[in-house]
Amino acid sequence: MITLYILGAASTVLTLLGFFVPARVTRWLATGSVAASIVYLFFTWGQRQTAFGGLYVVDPISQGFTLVALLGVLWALLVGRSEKWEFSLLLLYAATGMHFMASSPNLPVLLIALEVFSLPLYVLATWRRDEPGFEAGLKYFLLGALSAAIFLYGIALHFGATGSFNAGVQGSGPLYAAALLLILGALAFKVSLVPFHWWTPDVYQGSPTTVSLMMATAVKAAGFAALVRVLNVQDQGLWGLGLGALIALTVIFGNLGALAQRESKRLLAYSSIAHAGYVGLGLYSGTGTAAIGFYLLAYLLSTGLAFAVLAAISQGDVPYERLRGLLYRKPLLGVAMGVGLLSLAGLPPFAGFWGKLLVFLEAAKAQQWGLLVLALLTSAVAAYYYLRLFNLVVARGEATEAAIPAPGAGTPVLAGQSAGGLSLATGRLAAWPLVIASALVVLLGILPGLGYRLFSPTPFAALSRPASTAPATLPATFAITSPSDGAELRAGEFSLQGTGRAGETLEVWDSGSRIAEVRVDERGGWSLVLPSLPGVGEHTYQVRRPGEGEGPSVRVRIVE
Amino acid sequence: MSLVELLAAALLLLSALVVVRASNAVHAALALIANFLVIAAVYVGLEARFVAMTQVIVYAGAIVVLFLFVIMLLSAAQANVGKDLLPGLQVPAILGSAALAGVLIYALSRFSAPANPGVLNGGLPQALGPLLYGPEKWLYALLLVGFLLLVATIAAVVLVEPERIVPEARKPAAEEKELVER
Repeated sequence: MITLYILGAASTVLTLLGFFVPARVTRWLATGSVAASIVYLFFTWGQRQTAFGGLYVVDPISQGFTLVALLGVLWALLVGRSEKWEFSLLLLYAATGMHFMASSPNLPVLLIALEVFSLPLYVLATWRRDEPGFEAGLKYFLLGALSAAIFLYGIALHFGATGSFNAGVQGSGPLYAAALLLILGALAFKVSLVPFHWWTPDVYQGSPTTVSLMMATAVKAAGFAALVRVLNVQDQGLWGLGLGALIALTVIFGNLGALAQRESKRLLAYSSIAHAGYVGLGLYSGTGTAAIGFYLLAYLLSTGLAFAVLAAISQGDVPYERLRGLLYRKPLLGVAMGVGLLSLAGLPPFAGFWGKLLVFLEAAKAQQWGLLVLALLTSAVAAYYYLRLFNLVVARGEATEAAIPAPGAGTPVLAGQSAGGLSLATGRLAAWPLVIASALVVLLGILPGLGYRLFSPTPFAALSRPASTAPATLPATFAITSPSDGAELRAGEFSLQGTGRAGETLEVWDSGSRIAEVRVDERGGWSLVLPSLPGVGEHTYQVRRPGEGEGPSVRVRIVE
Repeated sequence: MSLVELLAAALLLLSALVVVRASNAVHAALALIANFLVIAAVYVGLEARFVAMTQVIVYAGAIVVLFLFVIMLLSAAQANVGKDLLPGLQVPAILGSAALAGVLIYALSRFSAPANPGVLNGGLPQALGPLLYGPEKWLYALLLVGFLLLVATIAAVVLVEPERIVPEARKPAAEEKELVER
């Protein structure tokens, strides 16, 4: 709750405060509030909380993915400095939206959260105010609006098929499959799985590098938080096939596409597509949340390093040749870039290795052997283009003249000169995040348990209440869909209807007494005409599995 | 299906086709308004009266009017001034839409809606208010929408805001840094 308050209050207050204080102060206040949220997250790690009738949930998923998203935003705030204070404000809005996204199992709320963090990103993508910038913003906006529409349609069909707005509700039938596929497609756009990735290379290249850093890390974390919740259903059915196709296409296309690149930012864009495919492997097993979280953290640190170094060189394009001999010209940047690239390639002893290993283990647990082999093979391909870049960084020699675009010719690359006025943070301020992140990549590479335990719910299980008492975490595989909660009804004019697993028998209770048993039909639905007319007043109808004391319920009012 | 429902469905499809196919952007926007009016009537028929009113006021009355402002300010009514960059795309687009429609129609035809949707009270704001503002219901979502509107306002302002003059003193410093970097 406090995370929500800090971020929400800071962004609304800074909206007005920014008019009266210098841009520098706004930036530090925004950075401070994101940092405070992260610190608070650590202090309350492992605690569970639900609020607003289950629409806002703090659980391991919320905490883990919020942590990664906020770290991504924090890094962008530290690296990027603009003459305009709105830059920090928009980053802060996006951070708030990502926290909303990670902390709700409710589909309409997820859609609102998606918009909250997407709108600032559309504007940030055009920040450079040159042609690639406008192209990036326009493409991102049009495709983003389209994917939001697809998401909304998926939510509507999900409600139609299951009678529930909650993610992770089990359903059946073609309508349910269509709903999950639509939602999967829309979220796959945000995390840029092939074939929903077309915007990624252009947008990452056209946006200021600082913004690309955040898009590649924080947005992916928020997107995967929603995917983890939505796909948390036992029966994989059609969406399992759909996800498999997406992952296979993603790892192949992302890695082969990256081979053909000649420009570092575009390379990292294709690499981010490929890595989204690897993270997706973790979605198959119901216990993959911790592995996904660790992978995203490792990916945040490594790709953040690479993007931060590129941002320190230029906010525009960085052709490969420009990195030649970076290690000798700028030792700090060179080391950071080297560590980041090796970790992205998945070499031990860096964090990226353990990230890959963990999601591969989850895929093996779910027995996705074909995908696993494909992922391993493409990882080998990926090593080639990362090591080629690494080789350039440590190669002796000067950057060739031809590699440095003349100012004003084509895309403007000089920092501080582009019209949006996004200048660079240099000196110690830009240096210490690089040092810390490099150290963390190595530390997590040597002691991966430190990071993995952060995302694993088990160490905290003894501290928190058992899952069954928290309504939001109840495996909602059966539900009452009609009448709706809080409805006013006339006695005898309604029947109870709901969903469940095909073939199972459920008990229906009325305010503590068992009134009937129903059998779920083969389409996953059940219906019950009440055996006796209920009296006037409040009735709480609850449906339970035989032998279980709890289940979803609706409270209705019977009127004359 | 009654005759009125068939008529509404036909009008909806027709106006939507005009929105997509009209070569004049103003005609398309006007057809969109017609579409919104018909769909509002359909909402009334489905006992969602408040949503119908909001549909007319917000969508037809505010959003499309903004569209029309933009189209007319940019004199963009005639879209076909340039050349069609992707001439071969029309057939795949039609096939893709037909496939999507086919899949959704199949999915919906295999689904039976609950026989009794419960008492809707005509979908009046009196029934919706407690849901929207009740602390156990959608209050959180409502607050988030409020936040979203704030974000949208600021984002739109930042997007269209003209350039500020960057202080001259800072420019040489940035360029110098760039030279050192090289």
